[in-house]
Amino acid sequence: MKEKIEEIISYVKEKIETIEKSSDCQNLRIETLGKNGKITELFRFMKEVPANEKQALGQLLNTAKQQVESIISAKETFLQSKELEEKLMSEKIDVTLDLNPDEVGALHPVTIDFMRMAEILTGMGFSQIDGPEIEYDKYNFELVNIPADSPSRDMQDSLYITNSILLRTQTSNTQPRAMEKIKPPFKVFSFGRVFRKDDIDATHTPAFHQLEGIYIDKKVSLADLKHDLSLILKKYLGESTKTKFRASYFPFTEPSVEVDAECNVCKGKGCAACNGAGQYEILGAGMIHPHVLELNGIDPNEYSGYAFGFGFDRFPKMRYKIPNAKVMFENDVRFIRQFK
Amino acid sequence: MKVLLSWINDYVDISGLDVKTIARGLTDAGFEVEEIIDKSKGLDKVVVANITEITRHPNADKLVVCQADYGFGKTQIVTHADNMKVGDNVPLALDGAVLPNGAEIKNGSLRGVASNGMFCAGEELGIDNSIHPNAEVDGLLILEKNLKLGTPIADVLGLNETILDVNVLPNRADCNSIYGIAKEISVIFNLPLKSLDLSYTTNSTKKIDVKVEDFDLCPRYQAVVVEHVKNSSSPAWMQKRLSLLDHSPHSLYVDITNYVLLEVGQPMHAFDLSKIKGEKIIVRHAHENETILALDEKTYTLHDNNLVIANEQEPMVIAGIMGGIESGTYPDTKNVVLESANFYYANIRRSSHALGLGSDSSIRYSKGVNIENTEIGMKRALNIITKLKAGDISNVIIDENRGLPTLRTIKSSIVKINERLGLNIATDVMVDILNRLDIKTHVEGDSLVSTPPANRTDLERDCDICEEIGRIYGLDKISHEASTPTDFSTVGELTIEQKNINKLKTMSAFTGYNEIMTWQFGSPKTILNAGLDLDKHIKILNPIGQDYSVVRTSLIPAMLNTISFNLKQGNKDLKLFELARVFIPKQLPLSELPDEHSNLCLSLTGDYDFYRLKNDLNKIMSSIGVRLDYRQARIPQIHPGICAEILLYNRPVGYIGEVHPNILNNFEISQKVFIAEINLSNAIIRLNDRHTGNAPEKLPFISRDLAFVLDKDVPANKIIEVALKANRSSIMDCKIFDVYTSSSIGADKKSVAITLSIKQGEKPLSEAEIAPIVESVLQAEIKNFDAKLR
Repeated sequence: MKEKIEEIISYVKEKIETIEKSSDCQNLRIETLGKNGKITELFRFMKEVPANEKQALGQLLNTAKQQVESIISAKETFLQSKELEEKLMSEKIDVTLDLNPDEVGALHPVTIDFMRMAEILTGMGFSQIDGPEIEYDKYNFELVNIPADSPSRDMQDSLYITNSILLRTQTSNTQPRAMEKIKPPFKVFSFGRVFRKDDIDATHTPAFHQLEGIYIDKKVSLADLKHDLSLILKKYLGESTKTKFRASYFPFTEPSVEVDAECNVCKGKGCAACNGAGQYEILGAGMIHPHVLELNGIDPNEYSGYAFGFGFDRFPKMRYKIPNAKVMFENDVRFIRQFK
Repeated sequence: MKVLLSWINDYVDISGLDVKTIARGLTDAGFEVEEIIDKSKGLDKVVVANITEITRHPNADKLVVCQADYGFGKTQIVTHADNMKVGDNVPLALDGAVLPNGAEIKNGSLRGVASNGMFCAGEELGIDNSIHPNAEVDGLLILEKNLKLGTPIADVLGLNETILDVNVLPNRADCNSIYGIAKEISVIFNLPLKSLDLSYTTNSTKKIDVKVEDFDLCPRYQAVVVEHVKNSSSPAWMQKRLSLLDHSPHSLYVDITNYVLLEVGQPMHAFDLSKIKGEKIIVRHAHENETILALDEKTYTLHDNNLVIANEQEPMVIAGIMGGIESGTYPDTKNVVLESANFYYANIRRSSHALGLGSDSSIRYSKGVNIENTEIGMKRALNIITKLKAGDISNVIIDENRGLPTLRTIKSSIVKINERLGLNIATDVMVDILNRLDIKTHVEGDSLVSTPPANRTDLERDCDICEEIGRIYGLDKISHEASTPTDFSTVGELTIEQKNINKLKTMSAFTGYNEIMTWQFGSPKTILNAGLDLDKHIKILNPIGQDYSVVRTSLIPAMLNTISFNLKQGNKDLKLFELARVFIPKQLPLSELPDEHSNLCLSLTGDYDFYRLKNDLNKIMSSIGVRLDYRQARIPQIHPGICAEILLYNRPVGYIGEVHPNILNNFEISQKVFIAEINLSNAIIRLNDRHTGNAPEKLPFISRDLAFVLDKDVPANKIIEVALKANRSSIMDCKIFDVYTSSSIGADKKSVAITLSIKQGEKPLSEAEIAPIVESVLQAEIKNFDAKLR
């Protein structure tokens, strides 16, 4: 009996070497361990064996059965994993290919930069306010100290719809509208389109974006303005940005200042980027004219405030080295896609 | 305004300051220097040379060969000029010179003869007769004898001049003059200011009658007669100054008025007394349709709101704007009447605009000329006439006015000045600055009491005094670190609308759309091309041009323009969006502000379809928690079969569909365009923050499919709505996964297959429990749409 078992095992060992497909392992299993398999056949001899040998033989056969099974399943596992690997490799693709590309779109550079600026300003406690783009003369001019016949109205030739309604020339229309609704102290900013009757050229477009901020409280000073502005400009233009104040004039502020930033290309020495000036004009600002406060029902003896405002479009223009305003607003998608 | 520094030097000694320092000082004090113009530019390698020999050119008849001595060397020059002779001094441009006209001079040869440099004509040096008498002759500029050879030509021509182009802001009309700027420089650099010489002598008693009919438009009018004038040309020094500041010299009296205009900022006019019919000057409104032939040789038709200076018969001058040819002064003029007047700036500005006529005078008047300046200008002109012995001045200066304003006194709190500036300036420094500015100031208790000079009408209250101190003290001395402590703090935030708008923009870009920005106004043609009603649009009264004259009510016209433009640029597969305002008038013409809506417009051009656009729109709007509904609709601009009204909370808020081929045709677009526009007003007023976080059901949803046949026109959203309504507690979702049409089921029918998601309770549902739920859906579809189970 022992010989027979040995024979079967060596048969299995021999046979297993020739198997190349995992499914053939099952055939060998049936051949040896199946209903009529070679090992199963041997179990039939159990009946003929004397009772005292039965246990030993049973053990012998069971061990043989396990040994055969383990030989077969080892090979089977090996072949299965090999076959899976081959199948998967047959599914190999070119991962560098772009099929069905669905690109993201881009925000306009003005939007991108406004969102940056809005984060900085809200971080400094400014809340955003909005005003109409078509506005009464009163909010656009009179309530910010630009009465009819004022020479300042020449500075910004306006587009009128009726004698008293116009396309706003400045976001300053939001100032009286804010003072109408909220009582000081407050810190607000507004952003949006403004309109001028300018001829269209490389630096002028009939509509452009403006951003402006005001802070009204007790004892607000030019030092607060300088502190806050230099912080805002550092965050927005870069930590090394140096700002400088010089005297200016706006009807709605007194004193008025023009704020220059040191040219970040030449560090103030003067170069082509800044036309040799070493600095460039950033924005206009100043202490809100007490008459503006009075016109809007705020007592200038109790409160003071600062205001700053600027044409916004040149900042993305500078940051992204956009050659002119035309390129920025003619909406060629090849231009816009660069801002993805 | 252009400022000649050598002229400034007449009044304040700036010889110790370099140009950049002056420019910096002016700029910091509010007078921005926009350009520093060096008049000797291009003349640095041009020197005086003496011609020592002239010989014929061996190879050319029209050229001569000259030997020249330029002091520190000798050279040979070939020239085709023929107006010089041996012994003449001429300008010589040496090797390396770049002349004002841009010509580069190099050593070389002409027709085989060496020529090292170039003799120059006046024109090549950029000068005319006002700089040097021979400048305009045809040929070389022949210079004076007795010049030191080798002297830089700029020295000889007196062109070592620097001009500053200064931006004078509207509140400082008093500084639109050399003297005004000189005064500022004297204060900024703390240098003494010489006063204007206003003295003159009189030799005549001749008078002229003046009548001012409207003192509102002409608050002051001065006139004086000058007899026996010699009105030839003005002296060289005056011509040169005028010329350097872009005023071409004329006859003496015109030049004097221009000189005074530049020096003290007072526009003046000179009449020929013999042309003043009746020897009476009348300042009056123009008669309707009265005409005048002005100095620019054009005839202007005047109206009642134009002011004129007239004689008894006709207008002689459009007041403050331009003189008439007839009454002006010319070389043969014998007796002159000089005018110095003050006109209401706004009227001059309006008239100048209306007539389309401007002049140096009208520009000055439009900015506002001080009433005191009338007399200063007149006296300065008389002083020059006296010095030039140019005529006999009458001892009667007519001065018509309704009284001159009195000086105002302003009281300012010293503490408040420092508080406002955020500085700590000592009181005596403040007082010193103000007094230097001619603002007479003394201290009274804790206040400054100041009396500004008459020409500083911009100084009205304490904040103006504060600014004067600040700008001279130096606003840049304010520290950027010294913020006043405050107990007030705010949380900065965007409005809900703004947050939602930013989110929609970001989401639109993320979904694949590129953001465009178009103007709020466009051309009537674009509006009409887009199929919109022009009569429902707001028009701009004074547009930049026809192309920018209509205010938009929709973003679609500009979007179609942009698509058309991009296709022409060769760009394909366009996915564009714009989020901006449109303007819906409540009535026309406007009597109140229009409604302003923020609209979102999306467009797809290329290989796309309606469902893609709709799906994208839904995705974008869901980012702010908004769910849209759609209803089949027809509007003329959109494909009649592919057009839906967009609904928000059951209210129409816009349209989506394929653009009608006729409209595309108007925009020369030859591809399909899918477009959607939605009014966001009601969509963006809430934040998407109202969610409930229930635990999900323990058991999975069961999925059951159902297919039925119904009328083709039954909209998908209604089929789903009915299915969901059939058993709200169990049916969680219903999706259409197949729509099928075929002649076998009938041409007007479609087969629709849906998948239901059915919720189980605590225990699994048995088939017996599921069946009636599915059946209820089928029954509802049968009842509502006459559906038949497939």
